[in-house]
Amino acid sequence: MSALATLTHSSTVTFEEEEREIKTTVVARLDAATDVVLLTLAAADGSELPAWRPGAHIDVLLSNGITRQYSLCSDPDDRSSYTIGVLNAPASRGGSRYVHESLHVGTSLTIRGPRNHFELVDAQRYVFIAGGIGITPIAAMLREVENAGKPWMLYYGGRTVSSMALREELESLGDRVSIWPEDTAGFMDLATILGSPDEDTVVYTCGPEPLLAAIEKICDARWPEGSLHYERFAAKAIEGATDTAFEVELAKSGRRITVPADKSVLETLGENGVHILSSCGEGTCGTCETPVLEGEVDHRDSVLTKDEQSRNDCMMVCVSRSKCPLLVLDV
Amino acid sequence: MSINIEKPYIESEYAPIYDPFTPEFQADPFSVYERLRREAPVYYNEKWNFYALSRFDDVRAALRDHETYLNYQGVDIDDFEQEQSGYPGMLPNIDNPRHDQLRATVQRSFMPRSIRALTDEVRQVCDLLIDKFADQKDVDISADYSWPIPFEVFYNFLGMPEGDIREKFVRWTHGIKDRKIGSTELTDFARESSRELREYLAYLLRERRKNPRNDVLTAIVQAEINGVPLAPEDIDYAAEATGLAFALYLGGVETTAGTMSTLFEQLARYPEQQQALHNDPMLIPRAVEESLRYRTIFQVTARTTSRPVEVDGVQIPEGKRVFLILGSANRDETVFENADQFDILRTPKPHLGFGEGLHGCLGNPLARLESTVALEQLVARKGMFELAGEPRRYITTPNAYVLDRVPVAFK
Repeated sequence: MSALATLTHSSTVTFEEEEREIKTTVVARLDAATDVVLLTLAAADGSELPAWRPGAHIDVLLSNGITRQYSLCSDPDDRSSYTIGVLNAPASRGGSRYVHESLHVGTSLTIRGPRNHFELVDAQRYVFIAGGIGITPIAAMLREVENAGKPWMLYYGGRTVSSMALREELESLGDRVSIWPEDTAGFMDLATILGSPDEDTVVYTCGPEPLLAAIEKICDARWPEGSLHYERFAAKAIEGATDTAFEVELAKSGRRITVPADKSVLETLGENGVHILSSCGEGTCGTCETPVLEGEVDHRDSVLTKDEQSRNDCMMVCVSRSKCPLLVLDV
Repeated sequence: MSINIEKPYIESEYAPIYDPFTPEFQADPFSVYERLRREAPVYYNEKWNFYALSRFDDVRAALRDHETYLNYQGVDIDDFEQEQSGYPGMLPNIDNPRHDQLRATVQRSFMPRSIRALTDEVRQVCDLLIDKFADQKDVDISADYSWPIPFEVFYNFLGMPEGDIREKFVRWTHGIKDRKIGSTELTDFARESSRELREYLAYLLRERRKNPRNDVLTAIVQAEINGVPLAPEDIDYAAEATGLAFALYLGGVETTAGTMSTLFEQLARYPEQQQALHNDPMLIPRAVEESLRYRTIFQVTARTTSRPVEVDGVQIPEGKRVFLILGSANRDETVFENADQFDILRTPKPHLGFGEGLHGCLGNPLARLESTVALEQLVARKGMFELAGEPRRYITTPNAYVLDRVPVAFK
């Protein structure tokens, strides 16, 4: 049995229709650490923003078709603004990088939400474990737990001291905060941190996949069911870091070509001497539309309608991939 | 290899390799590009304070990096764009996030699947024009065929009535590009034409609001971005929606006319390639692609750096104008064998004739359709032709290489 109580917010679709979009303006931008910026957003019309609780995130509509989710890390009692922390992830497909490069004080930005799939439950004691940019929802939680006068511990790991956002602010909270920069302190000692399972203690964690997996393993084995609450990096789920290889068959010649996990169909075909007209390279212009005869397409364009996508009779080969091992293209 | 940009030039001795504003350059751009690619792939022009990239891979990488290379200062290299940039909605000059929002409102009208539906209409346009010179031996295949096609297609696109207004439309089209050779400045006539054309497009948009149709202007006037209508209550010449319509028009007429003019001019020089098309009309799309590559209409597109960037070992500082020379990239001999030769039989390869990336040509399916159908009808209905006089360059922005006179004689 899994000790998981809270899952990732991968199923946000159902909420989207009820939520209104809010026009905001970036009112502050702080380089909080290497590759991390903190952006503070206020409603463009100066009104109060919707209420939220620690653990909540917002959708940030970066541009047509690109939506990214970021946890709020400011003070929930301050309704005049939201603050989000954004890591410029090297594997970013453009969302985080776009934030870093293009959003400055005065930039207008549309957001949706907030919504919360990582709620802070009431407990006697709290253990927080944050990895990297996963500190953002945890920081908001700490503030609340601290105000409630509950005992807590924070273990915060990162690549280097300089890459860890909010570190100084957190360190000022005293010895309940334990900082683990990998390059000098090594990985967090999870076996010790989680060494004393306790019915009245809950564990909250947010961070990269390997960290979550390790924590989950320990909690599954030793902690009471329901103790562990976690949130995966939304960006990871959304940005689809788990692309896999598949085959395409070219119906006109019968050739079969393998599309590797890190290449698009368009690139792979081009390398094999099959050139399909393309333009935007990001699934927005429709130029590279290619007829599909068999197989189920993993549509990632933003130009076909849902109906058109569900017909499975064509794909934009610059971005779309396959949901099955073989796609047959009418090429 | 790269030039040393630190080296001070002595003003009196300074003769730029690449100065696109001179008639000398415009007379023979390709030998200049060849030299740039070889000697100065990251070129700095002190006289006009811009950088230029000329190799295929460098140009392509820059086109795709829309975070380093921004469009807000315009894609034109003289002041035409600055003139237009005073108004919102000029898609080529807009960075994200607004670019994608605006483009999305018209994107579906330009998808290949939407454009394919215009095939019969384009064929009819071509046939009516051929009817007019069907029995003539001497024809100006640019002025009498290549240029009228995109105009006619656009009249239909805009639902423009017959008569006076069409003549005005032609006058405005040429008027907005009015300039003196060797100068970076527009004439007053150009500014007036631009204003009148915008007024007219605003009027059409207001009409569509009252009487919606299934067309791109209606799509613009009905568009909402994040729940906010794109077009204001009172659409005037300076509205963003008007700017968007204006950008579509600017992108659609001269460029397509130029592409076809080059296509026919080159074919007129190579009878054996014409013969190949008559023998196998399936080669026609390849001929179209080759003319796009061979003498790319929009020879250069400009960007502005948002941060310092290193290209081929040369540092380009933040905030600099960088000219991406598509016309040179498409002649890069490391990518295209025998690059200076027009050859419709060459192995097809991606070229940068329509740019690439975020600002890749929105109307490329329409340009391809018009050129393909125009050549198909010419091959189907007329015989071989050869050059019967000197082709003439159209006076337009120094970004472009467009012909407006190509006299040919049919056999």
